[in-house]
Amino acid sequence: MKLESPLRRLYAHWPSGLFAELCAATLFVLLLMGVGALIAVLV
Amino acid sequence: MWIRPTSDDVRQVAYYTGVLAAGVALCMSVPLATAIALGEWAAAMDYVLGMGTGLAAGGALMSLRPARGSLDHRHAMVISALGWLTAAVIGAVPLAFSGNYLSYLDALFDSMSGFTTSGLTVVVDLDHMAHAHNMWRHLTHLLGGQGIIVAALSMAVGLRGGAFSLYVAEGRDEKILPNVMHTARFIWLVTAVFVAVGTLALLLVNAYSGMTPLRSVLHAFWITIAVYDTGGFAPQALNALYYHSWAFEAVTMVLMIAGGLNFNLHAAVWGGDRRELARNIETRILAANILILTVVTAVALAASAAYGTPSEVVRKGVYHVVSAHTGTGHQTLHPAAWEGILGAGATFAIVLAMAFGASVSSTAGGIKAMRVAVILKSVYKQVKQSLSPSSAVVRVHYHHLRDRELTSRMSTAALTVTILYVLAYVTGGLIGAAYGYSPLTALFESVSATANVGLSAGITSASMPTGLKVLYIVQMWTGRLEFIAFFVLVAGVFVYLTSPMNDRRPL
Repeated sequence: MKLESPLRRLYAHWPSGLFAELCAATLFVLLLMGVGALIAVLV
Repeated sequence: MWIRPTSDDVRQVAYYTGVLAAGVALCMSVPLATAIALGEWAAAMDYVLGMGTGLAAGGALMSLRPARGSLDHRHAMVISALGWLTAAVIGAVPLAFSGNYLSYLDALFDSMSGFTTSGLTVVVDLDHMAHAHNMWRHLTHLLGGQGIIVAALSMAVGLRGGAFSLYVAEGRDEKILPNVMHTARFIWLVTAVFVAVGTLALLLVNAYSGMTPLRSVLHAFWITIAVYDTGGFAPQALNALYYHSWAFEAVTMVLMIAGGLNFNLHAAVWGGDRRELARNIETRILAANILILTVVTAVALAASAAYGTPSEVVRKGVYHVVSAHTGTGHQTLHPAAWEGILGAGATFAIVLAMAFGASVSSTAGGIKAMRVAVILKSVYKQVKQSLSPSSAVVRVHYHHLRDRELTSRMSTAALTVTILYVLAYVTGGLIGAAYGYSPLTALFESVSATANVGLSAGITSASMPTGLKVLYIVQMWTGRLEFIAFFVLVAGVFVYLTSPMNDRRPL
């Protein structure tokens, strides 16, 4: 079996990795906004 | 035992510092090309002079190359410390000629702030600065964000020998790929992709806001560099407040968070392991910290009369917590509004966010989430040990790219750097207070400089005392180096100068 080099593995998957990071960061920002807005309403 | 540096050691350091100076000078070809393309001839001449100065200084230092000897970890630490200073000194030359700075010291302040990705600025009349100078200011964020050494490594400007020592000396303690040159290039790839995505997104936002095409492109590019590299410069004096746009703030917050992530985490996720995002202790601590400080800031703001509506809490509170915690430093507030309008509670929460910082091996400064995680785990280990039988061997594990066991060496290293940061924060705050500023404002500015954030509560300006300018330059420099390389430089110089003359051959 041919082993996949770290470099090849890295460059093979990067678009989905980038997408995952952008989604995670966006969701986190939305969570923070939601928490901030909720506190403003409650306090 | 101290190893006395020899003349060959000094020549080795001088040679590599010269290589970095020449590298910075060559990078000025980008603003030079911008000036020529846009017909900014006075600015073009500034960059010709800057390149000339850098290449002359670099060439002179490179001529000291020793005939023998190779780079070791001591050289690497000193080169790293001097490299950042040299880059700032050379990078300040064209800015000093721009007419937007009152003195060379002011230009050096902005240059150091740019390379260390701080974002504090003492520029005058920024709104009328030449595009070429703005290009250079933001380019310093890009070069500094990658790490001067990494930038030079990836451009292969003669730093092949001892490359790994140099890489480690710059505070990047883990290689992403087995080959350090591939690692340096991967860091550039990640940045290039995020800068491309961010520029495109902000270009659309700017165009929708009604900016002319050229300004849309330039502002989008500069702001993306500034937020992804967690810098903080902006091409307008009002900083991010100038854009006054929800979409702008949302896009930049996403980029700030991406910029605050560890490059090793990017490598893991881009290599297909998306679960690492949620499993990594550093990401967890960073997210938890941001969330806690968001709650504190939101409560403080909601209780205040100034910014109490949900929209204002989100736009002024969440934005600044993210900007501070990731070390970016973009702000949508007038500096005087911090303590004056937001109040002490929200301002202190922002100070804490700046002090903690984002991830290690990212473009951010500050104590960083990994060290906070190690310290918390150490406390947990102590408690667990106290409650266990005396014969028990207590082991504590955490997950960072792989499962690891907490060692006392890790705890010591994390505590040492954390204590140095806290000392620098407090010392800078005390000095600022001694100049007559309020203690909270002085602490705010000191933490912002040391943690390379760039938020300003109003002290930083062209008219601030010269002593504070020098203090913040030193804080930005040493904070970026995480102190140890700076102390190695100071100790090395001291040991060299105090060694008997017969140990030192003429250079």
